[in-house]
Amino acid sequence: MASVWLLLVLWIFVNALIKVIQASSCATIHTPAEVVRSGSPVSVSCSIKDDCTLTKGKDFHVAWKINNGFDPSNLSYQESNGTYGVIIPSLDTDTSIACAVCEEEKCQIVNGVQVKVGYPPSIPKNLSCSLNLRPEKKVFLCKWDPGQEREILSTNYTLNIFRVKAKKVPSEQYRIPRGEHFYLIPRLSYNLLSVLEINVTAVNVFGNVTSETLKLIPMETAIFDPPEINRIEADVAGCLNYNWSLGKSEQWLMTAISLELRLKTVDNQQNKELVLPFTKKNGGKINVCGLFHGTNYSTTMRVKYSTLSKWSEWSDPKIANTVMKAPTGSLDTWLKVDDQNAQLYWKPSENFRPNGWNLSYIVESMEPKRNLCITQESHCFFNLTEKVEKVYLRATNAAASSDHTEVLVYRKKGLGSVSNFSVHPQSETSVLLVWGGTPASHTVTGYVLEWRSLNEMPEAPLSFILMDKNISSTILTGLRPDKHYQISIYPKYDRGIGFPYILPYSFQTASSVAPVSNIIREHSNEKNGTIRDGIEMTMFVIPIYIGLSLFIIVVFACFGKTERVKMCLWPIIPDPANSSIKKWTTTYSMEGIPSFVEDKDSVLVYLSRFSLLDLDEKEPFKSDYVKESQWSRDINSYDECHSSLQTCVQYDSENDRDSVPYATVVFSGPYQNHSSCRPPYVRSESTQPLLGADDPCSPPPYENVSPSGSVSKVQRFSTFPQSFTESEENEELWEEFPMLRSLELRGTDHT
Amino acid sequence: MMGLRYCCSLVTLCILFFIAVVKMNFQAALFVTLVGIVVSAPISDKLDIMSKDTIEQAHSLINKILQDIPTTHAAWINNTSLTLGDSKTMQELQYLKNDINITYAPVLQTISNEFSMETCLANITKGLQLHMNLLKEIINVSKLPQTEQVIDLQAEIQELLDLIEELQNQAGFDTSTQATDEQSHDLVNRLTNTYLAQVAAHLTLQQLQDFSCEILRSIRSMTSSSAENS
Repeated sequence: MASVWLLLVLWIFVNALIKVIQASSCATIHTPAEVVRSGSPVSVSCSIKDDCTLTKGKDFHVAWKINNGFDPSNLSYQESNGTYGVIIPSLDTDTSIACAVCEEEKCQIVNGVQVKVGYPPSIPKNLSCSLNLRPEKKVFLCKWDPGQEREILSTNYTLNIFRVKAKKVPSEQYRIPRGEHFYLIPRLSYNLLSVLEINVTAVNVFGNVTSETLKLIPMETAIFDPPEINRIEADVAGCLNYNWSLGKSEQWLMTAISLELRLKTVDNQQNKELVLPFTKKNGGKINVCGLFHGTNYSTTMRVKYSTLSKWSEWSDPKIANTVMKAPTGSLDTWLKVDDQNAQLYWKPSENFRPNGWNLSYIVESMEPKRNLCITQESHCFFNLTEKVEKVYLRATNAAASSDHTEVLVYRKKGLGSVSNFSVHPQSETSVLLVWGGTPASHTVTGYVLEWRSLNEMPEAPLSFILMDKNISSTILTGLRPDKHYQISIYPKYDRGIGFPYILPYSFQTASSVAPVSNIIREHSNEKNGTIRDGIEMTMFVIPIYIGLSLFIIVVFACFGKTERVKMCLWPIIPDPANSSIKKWTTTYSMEGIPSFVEDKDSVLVYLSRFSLLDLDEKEPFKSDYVKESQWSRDINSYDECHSSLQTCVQYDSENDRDSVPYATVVFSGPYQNHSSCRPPYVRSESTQPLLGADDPCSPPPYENVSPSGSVSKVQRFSTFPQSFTESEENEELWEEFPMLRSLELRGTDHT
Repeated sequence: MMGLRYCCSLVTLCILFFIAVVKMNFQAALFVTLVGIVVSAPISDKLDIMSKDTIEQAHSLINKILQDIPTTHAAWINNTSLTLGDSKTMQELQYLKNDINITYAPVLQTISNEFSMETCLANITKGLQLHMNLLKEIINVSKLPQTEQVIDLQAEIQELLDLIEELQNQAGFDTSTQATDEQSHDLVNRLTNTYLAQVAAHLTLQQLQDFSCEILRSIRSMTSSSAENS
């Protein structure tokens, strides 16, 4: 009984609660679809309840708030008593529609709805399919681009396949799992070699669209494995015959497929690459002709099912040689003859084909018949006799020899050169050469441009180009910017080769105008116009030496104040004409002998300079100037009179250790009678020995310059007679030594 | 020789034509004569009518079938005692073959007057269909898994069937009357365990391999004859 009452109370409570809840919402709102197609009209209705507190007993009206603004009243209407509606003619965006109860201007929103806009699905694009034939991954995959997808609407995709020639099951459809935009087509749904039509349909609530139909053969979409070249055979015609096969996955295919063969010459022989298209069945033989003879070719292949397919990877390369034959084509030659010495250079012309390997060249003469040279190089030096007017050059490979190339021997000299030749840099490795002006008396048949890199050890090979007579300029390429070159132009005449016009050239010292100093025109018959390398050397070496010498001189001049330097470069040689007999010591420096203060007579010539030592300068001119006591006289020490210039002086080492006598006159008798002996002279610190008058190399006797300007010769020294008084001695002295007189006079004048 | 026979047949037809003209109206006589000319044409003429591309495609498919049979056998039948191409095993399984009711494949002879191109193509179709049905039935009734390789083989057989039918249409052969061999082999009652299912699968693949070799021979003869004519 109690439980019954409890249930009753509970039921009443719940009902009341529901009524309360219901009573709290004033209106219900309704719309046919909360998602509409873009541009579609939308109608919403709002039912106001009778017990709505906002409307009960009040004067109200219903308004519609669409997004952020209240709708103009022309869209809303009253459906029935208590039900109001609004129609939006075209909805393009997601819209919030709310129903509001308004009392005069005050409005209260009682309910609302969010209406979303949807679109038909985007057309699937870029539909593509590809077949994989590998056994481990044999699939036929189709994929597409769905375009813009809208999350609010679910779009379903269907893959449609239509087999053109199938009668039993012509078409099939496959539902695509949600969120995926690809499909692996079942194997039973397609034939490998038959046409298939495929498209994709997208469907949502607002419509369906279908992609473009793809029409294909599944095998066309497969990328084949690289084929295999089984064997290559060479035939005598210079062709290569290929035996090949498809990859393992495509071995079964018997229809014709597209092939590409790529042939490359090996070891950079002639740098040729051929790409040849073919259409062959699997295993069909391929024959390639028009190849160089005696050449290694590396061959690779690739295949595809048809022109619409993608290529496979290139196969592994296979190398084969074509058959050799004799070399063909011509050789450009350049023969330089100097008397009997010949230098022949050659190079293949554009049409030359070695047609084999181990190429060698033979130079021979016919009259007399002999081989002049056999070499694998591209030049040869040999002797030519006067009789030989032509030599013949041929190329030989392991198979055979080419035809002879005839080379005329031009010995005529004295033919003119071009009158102008200039070099203009074009780039780091090329120059423009311009020439012109040949003697009118000769008919030019062509030109030979020759160039060589200098200063290389071993000597760089000579390069040349043969040019037509109408050409007057050319661009030389392949030069190195760090090299010095010698470039020559030779005119060719019908009677011989002209003198060259030679230009040394270096990129580092290049100028736009050919410097005059660099122009060398060789007119020597003997040298045939070649420049010696020495000139090149001198142009660089001489300036260096000159500069070095100047540098040394400057250094000595600047730093040449030392005794040693002075003595080396300009030793001080006392001039007896301008010197006085004085005593000096070695401790005194020899340089900078002070001239006499008063001795500034320009008439006198200072032949040397003295340093006055150990004497009172105020009295330099005393009559006892010469103090014989200061000199050591040791007659006994005088050896025999001899013609030697050797000094035989001895000096009192005890008294005058640092004094060096300038001269000691020792006579064994009156000097007038002393004809055979040369008076010995003591050598002074001057490094110049005193020279005797009899010495053929000795300088001429001194000439004393008297104050009056006359010069009298002083042949020798002499001693005073014993009877002379001091004044007479002095007088005699002045007679004998006019220089001394002049000194005394000056001293007198200045005292 | 074949050309001489054709000439003789043409002469015969001409005589018959004139008789028919006398007996029937001209148009009827002409129609009958033309049909006779086409039907009596030697194989070389049939090949001229058939597309070389279609023959090459058929050649490719039979090659693929032969290439895939061993891999299918290895992946589908996991039984080392059943080895493809083992003649001794074939002899030992002769009883079971009859018991399981594995139908024999049609015979393919060299195309000649006795064995026409039409008969050849019809037999090829019949034999391929037979093996296609056997494979389907074995898969349906047994517990042997339907491997990817079996599916590929079935697809290739179906594609070859389509190509043969195309050749028949090109040659003007009537394909409406040929049997599709939808007859059930009642394998569900006979393949009572996995071993018997494996035997059935082995026997089917073995017979298919032998039959495919015959098909290949026939197609090669068509290809070589076609090459001679071109």
